[in-house]
Amino acid sequence: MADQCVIVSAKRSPFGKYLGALSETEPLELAAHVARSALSAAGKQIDREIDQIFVGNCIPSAFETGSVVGRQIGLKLALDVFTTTIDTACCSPLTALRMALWGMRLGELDAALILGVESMSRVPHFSRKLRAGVRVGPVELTDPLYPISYPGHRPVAVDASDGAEKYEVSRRMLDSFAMGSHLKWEQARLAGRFDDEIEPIRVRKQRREFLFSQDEMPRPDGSVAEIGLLAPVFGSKSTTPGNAPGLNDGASAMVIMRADKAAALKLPHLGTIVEQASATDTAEGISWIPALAVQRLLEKTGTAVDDLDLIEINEAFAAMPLVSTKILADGNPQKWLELLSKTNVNGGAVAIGHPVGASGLRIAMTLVYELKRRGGGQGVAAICGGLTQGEAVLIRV
Amino acid sequence: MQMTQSIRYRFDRIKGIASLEIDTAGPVNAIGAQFIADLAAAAIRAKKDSAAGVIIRSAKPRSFLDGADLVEIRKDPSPLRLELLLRGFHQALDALATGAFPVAAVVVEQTALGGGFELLLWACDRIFATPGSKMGLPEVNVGLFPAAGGLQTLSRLVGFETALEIVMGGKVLPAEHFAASPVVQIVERHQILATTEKWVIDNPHVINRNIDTGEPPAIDPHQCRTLIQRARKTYTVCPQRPYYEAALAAAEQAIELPFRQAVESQVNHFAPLIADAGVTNKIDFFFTVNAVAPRLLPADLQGALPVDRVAVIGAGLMGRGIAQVCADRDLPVLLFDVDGPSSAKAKQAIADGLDPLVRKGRWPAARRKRLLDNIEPTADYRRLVDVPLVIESVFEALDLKRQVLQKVQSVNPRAVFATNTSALPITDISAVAPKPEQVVGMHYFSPAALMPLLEVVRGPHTSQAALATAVACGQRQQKTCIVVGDGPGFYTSRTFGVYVLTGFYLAEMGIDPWEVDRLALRAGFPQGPLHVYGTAGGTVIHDAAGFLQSRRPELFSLPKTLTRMVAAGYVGAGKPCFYKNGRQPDESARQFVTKAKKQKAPDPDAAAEMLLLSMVNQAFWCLDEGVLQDYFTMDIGAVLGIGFPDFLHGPARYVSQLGVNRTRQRLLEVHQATGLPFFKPAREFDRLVACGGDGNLV
Repeated sequence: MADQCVIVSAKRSPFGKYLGALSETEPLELAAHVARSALSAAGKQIDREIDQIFVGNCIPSAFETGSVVGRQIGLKLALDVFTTTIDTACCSPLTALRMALWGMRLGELDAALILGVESMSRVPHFSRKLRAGVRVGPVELTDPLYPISYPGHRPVAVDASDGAEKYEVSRRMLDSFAMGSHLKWEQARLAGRFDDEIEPIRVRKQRREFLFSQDEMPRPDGSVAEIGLLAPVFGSKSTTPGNAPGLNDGASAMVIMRADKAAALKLPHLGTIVEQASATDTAEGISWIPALAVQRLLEKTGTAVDDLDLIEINEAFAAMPLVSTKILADGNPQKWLELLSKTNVNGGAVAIGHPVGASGLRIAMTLVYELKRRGGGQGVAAICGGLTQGEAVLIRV
Repeated sequence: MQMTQSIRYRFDRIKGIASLEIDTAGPVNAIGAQFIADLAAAAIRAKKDSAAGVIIRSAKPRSFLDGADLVEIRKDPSPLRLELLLRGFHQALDALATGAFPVAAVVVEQTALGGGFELLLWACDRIFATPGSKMGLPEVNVGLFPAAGGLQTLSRLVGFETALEIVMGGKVLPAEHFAASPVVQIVERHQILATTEKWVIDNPHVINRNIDTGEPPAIDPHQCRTLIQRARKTYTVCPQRPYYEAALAAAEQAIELPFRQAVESQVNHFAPLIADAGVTNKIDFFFTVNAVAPRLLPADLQGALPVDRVAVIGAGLMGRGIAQVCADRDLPVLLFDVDGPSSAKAKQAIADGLDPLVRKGRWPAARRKRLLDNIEPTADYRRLVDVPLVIESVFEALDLKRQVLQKVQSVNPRAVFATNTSALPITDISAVAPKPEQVVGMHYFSPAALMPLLEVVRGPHTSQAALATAVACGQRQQKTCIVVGDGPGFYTSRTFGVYVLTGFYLAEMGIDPWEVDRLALRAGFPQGPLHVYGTAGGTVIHDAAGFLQSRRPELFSLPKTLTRMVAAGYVGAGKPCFYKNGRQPDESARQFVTKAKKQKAPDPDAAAEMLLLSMVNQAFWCLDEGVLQDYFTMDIGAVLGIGFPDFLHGPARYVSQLGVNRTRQRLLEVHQATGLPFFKPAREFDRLVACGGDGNLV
């Protein structure tokens, strides 16, 4: 019991759409904002209890200086503790969480602040030509976001679509799940189910200043059929702007602590991090890697799929939760639908958005708050990362 | 010259003529807030310029002015907004009409529809139109009615009775149809501008025709009321089409009012319609058919064979109808029947069928002649050797269809062979063909000349080129095409089939058979299911249902009543059925109705719901089986092909509005209560529930 790791607080910003409300906010400010919120959310300031900071971020060039962005955030918070910045693509914040868990188990730390931050609207185009100088001819600018791909590999949109095809997930199923994501988000919003996790933020955009308090991207007034009319992108078979998230801005924060320390400080806790696991597979396997990570996690903890009350699988594309739950259901169609109906119950990245370095913590906190709301239980949150790495975390409330 | 956004105003100082050229944003001219503001501004400008006359024309090649901007209205469907828009339109038209100058319009092979036609009728003293121009008041087709004085102004041209028919039928007619009135004048294209200018200059005092008509009332108020009452009986059977009652109530209220008050009184009948879900569904359906349907077709229509002529084999009612639509679109047709004389007789039958159209003035005689010139009757299969597309429409029997297919492919293996069948799978028909990839389904609906839908069926072997050829031909015939997968009864026939079967079962549960049909009409179906049995032919229904049951025993069952009626020769089409002379109940049919044991008759609402649910569920089973791939196709096919109520938009919208969970729950309850296999909820519902959405399918 004493060495159990508990979640003391978890907060995120509302997620902004591409070039939307957060597009003029520096990621440094955004990360500091959610961190401050998490550090005071438990009813008192706990800044001084933090032993280390772990920051997930995938595209540091969005910062004014894209180096040691974690330490930059730490100093902004006036927290002079060792800060690690981690890039495992979209896995980053859950990898960060896993490293904190190691530290805790090794007895090196008692409390840690975990952050995930991404400002995709602020990622600059770049050119490698300018440094040496351009003599004649045009300068070509590269956009690291269009499409998101890695040298020698295909765009992730293609991998997602091929995964859907491999596991016989139809285009209509992808589009239905995508529409469902928007509708579930709308229901959750109306019921106030994001109130716990969202910390509104004052932002400035085009000389206007306002309080940004609600996810900006969801479109619950669309339809499955309209999504079905969209054409596939980047040479994929089924990936469209309708069954994929946008390019988004947002940040998430979580404070974890040894249970005995939390008790000593009389801090309430949201839930327990039971275990984490990671997985890798061939580079085009991003759609099913969450399932492999979850399977390793379940094996490690001796948990059965049926013991899970809730599942969060990040909707990097609608294919990820669909393919991964199908694998977890062992191809049993009835079981698949059962798992799906407890997956991403408040909507996912297709609706809310996917600021790549922040989503992993978002799904973890959505899971813990929803388990709490339901009076307890256990669930997993899993995410895929570029070039096929996966992270999964088992949380019990 | 003054540029506004949607009307170009020019004033010719020498002639003193102001010209208004309509050119709104979008592919056709439409009436929105911008247009109304511009029209009012143009009227003021013409008065300020002391114009001696005004000429209105359009810059769009095919469209003069085609009614309200539905995109704009749909974006913010609030009654208050619509009311303000309508009042603004009234004021702008009034400003133009009351100017101290004659107003004339020039319509050049264009359409003036709805509010566009009302503009002509209210604001213009004279309308000059070329042959080929079309005018009408199709508002009811999008759940509205003409509310800018259309009925009143049109009555002066064609009389109240005809005007009411046009309003209630949502009709669009050739301009010639209105030329009996001096207000509409047909002029050849090359003379039209000169003629119009001359008329404007020569008639400076023909003004305000529509405000101070000085004409005697076209008809007496009592007779108007009688006609309105008669229309009410025809059109307001289904309470879910409020626009018909609104149109009639507005007509009634306006009978004895002066024109301005008559128009004013229409506002309160018109504006609230937009808050009705059925009305917005109809507007959406209009877009679904016109804007979405073409996007659902396979992208690769370039692969279509060039079709310069077709052969139609089998000259029954359907074959003749198909030949007729081809020939009418200038596609030469070889019309085949069993022998030469039969083929010739079939052509004669087509000719006879067209006579009334010409006699009543709906068609120019030249159109009939051109159509008939395009049809060549023959029975010589060697003629097929260079025909790119053969449409087979012989009797619905697998062996016969296979024989024809083999015969055709032995003469011309390159031809695309399109089989018009309502239930036989393409796979079965092409199973013994040397080139199954050339075989595709083209399922027409009866009467082929009038029904707007074509269901193109892609068999598992059908080539992309054959499919594209069929679709391109359907488009040339001005059909709305949907592409579906193969299977017994494809999409529409099996879905229509359960409608008829449910009708029988409702009768077996104890609802009076004719009441079953009446409640179907009240629910918005064009014809009751038991009435369909007689008109479509009992044998056809029975055989199709039997075939479906043999292929999908888990989903279909045959009512005993149906079997007994067929056995007794109660099959309609000349033989007895539920109706005598097409409409009178034939009580003798009652003897065949087999009462279901221990089943309580559902109340009328529940019965109507069962008719809808049976179709909805079957449509969703078609998704499960891959016959359908998307919800748009589902809705288009159901409304245009098999009479699913248009104000519901189709099965997918029905489920969206009722809720996926609720639909599934109702199906389970009905399935439990009746034991009828086709109420077992489709798996698609389970999938949707698991995906977390309860609606928003289409």
